[in-house]
Formats: sequence, structure tokens, C-alpha cells
Amino acid sequence: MSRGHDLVRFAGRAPAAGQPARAGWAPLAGWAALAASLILWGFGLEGVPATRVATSGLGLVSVLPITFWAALGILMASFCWAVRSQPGRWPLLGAHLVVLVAILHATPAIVYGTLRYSWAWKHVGVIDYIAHHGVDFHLGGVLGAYQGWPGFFALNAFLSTGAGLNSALGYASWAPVVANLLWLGTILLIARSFTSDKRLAWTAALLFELGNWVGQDYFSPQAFAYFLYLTVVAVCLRWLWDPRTSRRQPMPSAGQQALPGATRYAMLACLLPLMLAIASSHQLTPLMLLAALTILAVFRQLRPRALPVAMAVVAAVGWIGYGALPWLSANSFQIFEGLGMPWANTSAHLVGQGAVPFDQTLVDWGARFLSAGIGVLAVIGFWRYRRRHGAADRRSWNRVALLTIAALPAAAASSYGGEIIFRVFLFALPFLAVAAAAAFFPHPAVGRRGRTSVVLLAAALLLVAGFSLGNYGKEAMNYFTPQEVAAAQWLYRTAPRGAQVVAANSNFPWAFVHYNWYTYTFLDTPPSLGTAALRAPVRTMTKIMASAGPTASYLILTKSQDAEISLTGEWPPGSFARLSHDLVASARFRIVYRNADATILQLAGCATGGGSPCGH
Amino acid sequence: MRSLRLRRQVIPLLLAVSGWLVLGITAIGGLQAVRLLAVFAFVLAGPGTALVRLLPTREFLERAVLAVAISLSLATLVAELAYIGHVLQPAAVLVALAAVCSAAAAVELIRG
Repeated sequence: MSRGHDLVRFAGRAPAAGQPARAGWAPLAGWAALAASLILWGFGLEGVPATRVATSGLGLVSVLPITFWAALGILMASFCWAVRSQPGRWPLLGAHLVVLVAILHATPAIVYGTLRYSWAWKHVGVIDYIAHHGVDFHLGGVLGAYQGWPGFFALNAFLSTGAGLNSALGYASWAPVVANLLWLGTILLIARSFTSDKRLAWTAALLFELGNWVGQDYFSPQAFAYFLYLTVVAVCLRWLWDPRTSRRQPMPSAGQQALPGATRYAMLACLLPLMLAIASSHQLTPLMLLAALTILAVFRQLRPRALPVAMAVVAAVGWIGYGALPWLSANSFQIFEGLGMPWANTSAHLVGQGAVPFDQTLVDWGARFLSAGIGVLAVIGFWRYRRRHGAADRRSWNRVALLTIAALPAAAASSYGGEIIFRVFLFALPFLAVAAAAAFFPHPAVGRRGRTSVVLLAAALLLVAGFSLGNYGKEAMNYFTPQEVAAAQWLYRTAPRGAQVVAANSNFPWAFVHYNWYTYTFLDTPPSLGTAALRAPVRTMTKIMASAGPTASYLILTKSQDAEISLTGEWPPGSFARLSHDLVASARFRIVYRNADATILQLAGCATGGGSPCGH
Repeated sequence: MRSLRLRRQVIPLLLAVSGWLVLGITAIGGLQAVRLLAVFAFVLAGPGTALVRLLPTREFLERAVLAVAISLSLATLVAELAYIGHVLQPAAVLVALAAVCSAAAAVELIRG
């Protein structure tokens, strides 16, 4: 078979049986809508007041212009029309999804011009450390966990130094776009493993993108490992599934045939580097992969049945024994503290509704409705698909439910720093999206009328609203102004090795360079530290900063720290401003750096750059 | 027939030299934008593309996803080995990846 023919087969340009070939203005209209959406988006981004994000109740949602929302609306309308009427035109539908990823995920990078999320800044610092010092499994301290699972950081240390960059900061802002594009390809592969109906596969990819509000696509090991996880699952679903393993031996209508053993083992061999990279890059993903492969093996949905599971176990356990054991031995209490407490684990990160501003309550409920909406659509789609297909297709379809369920046990194992509920949702989402797509296209003969496009469009617009609230709604704390970045850069240029950096919390651009030089003290760890600081600001902060002894100690207070406190309701309203005011007004402290969004203080009598005893 | 055979050999030949070409670009210095693009493109897809061409996959999307996943995994593992061994030279990682890429392309050329 020629390569050209292969591409045509993938593209699906040949009309499906019973479906007339479409030509003329229809594809042109789709491309025109796409162009209109891009133009509106581009014009809309001109002059967006990024600095207002920090003070707007709904974050980025509050400041994006009407043209941005019009661009999304046109894109959704065009996609919902094209996916029903021209599902075989893969360049058109693929371009719609690529533009959707660009609009949803490139917008913050373009509007802000600074790296989003404080964790991403820290990851840049870990990469900087590994690029200069290598990996040391026994390092311990704040860098210990990263040394135990260094895969993502080593890759980026190599990439940034190999490309001649001083730091990964130059490209880290674009990670969400890259991650979502990579995920998109694997989601399409996964969806097409269950069905030959291209409408269902494209719609699943759309619902995945709109449903993925949890913000795990930033510059992080989990985003990288998730791509590899999805690829392993896609390979298992497409190449390691044998329709003949059923007791009744029916052949599914999705066009899947049993593959020769040599092909299976060749594909299995390809999974080895992926599994090793997952095991050495992230703590949670190998366990999620193991759960997914185990449930497929237990329900006879893998062939060979045990080998993929065994490979995943060997990779995960082997890596723990080789590299992660020193950190795990020293931090076992963190791992087992949530064991067997699913309710406590899943509610550990839920925001208390008492002191949270009304806007943030709206944001939280928007995200919850989005997640629930995807879940409800998935239940409807799962049921509709099963009702309209024979036993063989239903057996293949059961894998959707199995892989969704596979993510759930993690919630009973650990709180994962209060994030486990979001991670469980993320790992279940690809399969929820496939099932949800079947709510609109349960069978190739169903959903061919215009009203299906209208219903899909209505659902997509609701999901866009939920995504925008969930993903953009907390941008007051995720966005760092250029002034905050300038203050942080001054701090890390000035503070000598061994200095202590103190802050209200870690929500500022921190640790992106010389990660191992400094010790960090945050007033929210433990929370009693913050309570003491609010009760007696000058006395408590003097005590904390003097504890650094003869080395310099810097207190950095930024707008984004204030935003996190305000958005999470951690301190009573106005507390951060009062704390800042009291410290600035006190003779015990002196301002060493100040701009509109950040203030850096030292104890009076302490020379900038350290070296002299201070605070006494 | 001969031109068809030549055409089939062009891509594996390009893949065989791609890693070494990128290594050369990094060694020359300067050309910052070219260097950045060359390193990122090769690490993202080079070794994986050469290996995936040996597999019995047909579809473009399958090949593209696997090529990127395998490339990034191999780059991750080689970089880890280098940094665990405190070999802090990115050229060492590039040499290993270029060798994998060339070896896979050579297998394809020998197979014909």
C-alpha cells in the first residue's frame, strides 16, 4: 500500500457508505469561519489590560474583550456544523481543534508576557540546578523529590543548554499549548480505538479540550508524563486488544482485526522507553498507568494479558529502587497520611465558602458544573452507545468505563497535597470525553440532522463558559505582573548564598535560579505562623527573620501573594495590607526594594547582600 | 523503479544524518534561532521517527504520536543517565540520540 493511499485512508476523504460526497462552498465556509475566528482572536488580544487581571473578580474572564468570545463562538459553531456534515475532512476539523488550543491556552502567554503559576517558576529553578550540578538522589531538602524523579527536569536541562539558552524561562510559558497539542493527538487515537465514526472521535477531542479546566498542562512533570501515559493507553487500546479473546468470539464492526503476534510484541517493545520515562518523571502517573493496565488485564482486554502490566510494575518498582528510595524513605509519612481516607483526600483542596469572595464562589461552581456536565453527558453517551450496538461493539465499548473507573482508587490512597480530586478527574477525562461524545453520535446512522449540531453547539458553549471560569477565574493569583517579576529578579541577583527568603506564601515568581542557595519560610506553612504574624506582625516577623542568624534574610511581599490569600479566604480580608503596612512603618524593618506590585524588606541594621549580623 | 527506490531512501538518509547535523550546528555557535529550532525539532521527533518507520504502522496520526512519544522518552532517559553520571555536556546526549537515529535509519536502509 502506498503512503499516499495511507494518508487518504487516515484523512477519510473518501465518502463513507451511504454518505454523499460534499463539495462546493461547504468546506470553504468552514475555512472562512476559521479565518474569521483567528482574525477576531488576534484583534481581540490587542491592548488587553493584563494588569487589571490582578484586581478583577473573575481573573482573565473579566478583562477579555467581546471579540475573544466572538472568536470562540464562531469557532464552536463552525466545528459543530463541520463535524456533523464533513467528518472526513480532517484538515478542516484538525485545524479547528488546533485553533481552539491556541485560543484557550496561548491567550494567557500572549497577554501576560510572564510565566503563569508559581510552581512553573520553581520547576525552571530545578532545571537550572540539574543543568549545573546534575542529579543526586541523596540530596534531600527542598530539592529531594525532584532529584528522585528527575526525568522531565533532566530533559529540559538538556534541551535548554543544548539550544544555547540560559534558562528554560524562555519557552516555559508555551508549555500549555504544546502539552494540549500533544494530548490532542493521543485523544484522537484513543477515541478512534472505540469507533470508526469520525464524528464521535472529533467530538471526543473537542469535549476533552473544553473539559480540561484543571490547569495541569503548565510547565511540569505531570503534563509531560500524562502525554506518555495517554500514548501507552492508546497503544494498548489499538494494538494490544484482540476481539477474539471474547468467549463468544464475535468480531466488532469498528473494523478492528486481530493483529499478528510479532506486531503486538513490536508495539509492546516501543512502550518500554515510555514506561521508564513515566516512572522516572512523576510520582503519581506510574500508579495511574498501572491501575489502567491492571483493570484492562483483569477484564481480558489486553493481549498479551500480563506482560504490559509486568512491564509497568518493573519500570515503576525498578525506578523506585534505583532512584526514588532515598526520598521515599525520608518522607514516607507524606505518602501514607491519606491512605484509606477517600473523603478527606478528595475534599482536602475544596475552598471554604465562608470567607471566599462571591466571584470565586462563582468560579468554583462553574468548574464543578463543568465537571458534572461532562460526567452527565458521559453517562448518557455510554448508555446510548450500548443501546444501539451489538455485543461485540459493546465489549469494546466497556473499556471506556473500565478506564474511567481505573482512575478512582487513587482518591482513596492519598490526598496528593490536596490535589488528588483534580488528578483523578484528569486521568478519567479522556474516557469521559469519549463516552460524552457518544451522547451526540451514538451510532453512525444517528445524529445526521442539523439539530444535532445545534444541541452540540449549545453544550460546547456551556462547556466554554465552565472552562473559562475554572481555568481563567483564579488568574489574579496565577498571573505575575512584570513588576513582581522585576522584584524577584532583583532579589535573586542580590541575595547572597545561604540567605533566607520569607514570604506570606509561595505564590510569587520564586526559586527560578540558584534553587539550592536559599532557605524559604512561608507564613502559611504551618498556618499557625501566619496567625502569629497577624497577631503581632513586627515581633513575629523580626523573630522569623532574625532566626537566619548572621546570614541575610529578605521578606518579599507581592500582589499575587495577597491575591492568593484573598481568593482562598486564608486570612481575614485586609490582613495582608495591614501586615505590609505595619512592617513598612516599623523602625525594625527597612525597604531594600519597592515597586508598584512588590516590596522587599530586611531587618534594619542588616547590610544588603548580607554578611553582617542583623536583626539583633 | 530506480527513482522510486531512491525516493524511499531519501527520508532514512536524512534521518541518519539529522542528529549529526544538529550536533554540528550546536558546535558552530552563533545562529541562536537556528540552533534552538534544530535542537527542539530533533529531540521532539528525530529518533522516534527513525524507529517508528521500522514498525508496521500505517496511519499518519499513529506514526506522528508514536514518533514524538518515543523521541521524548529516549531523550529523557539519555539525559537522565547523563545528569546522574554528572556528565553536564548536552553534546553527549545529542551524540547518543544521533547514534540511535542513525542506527534505526540504517536498519531501514538495509531492509530496503
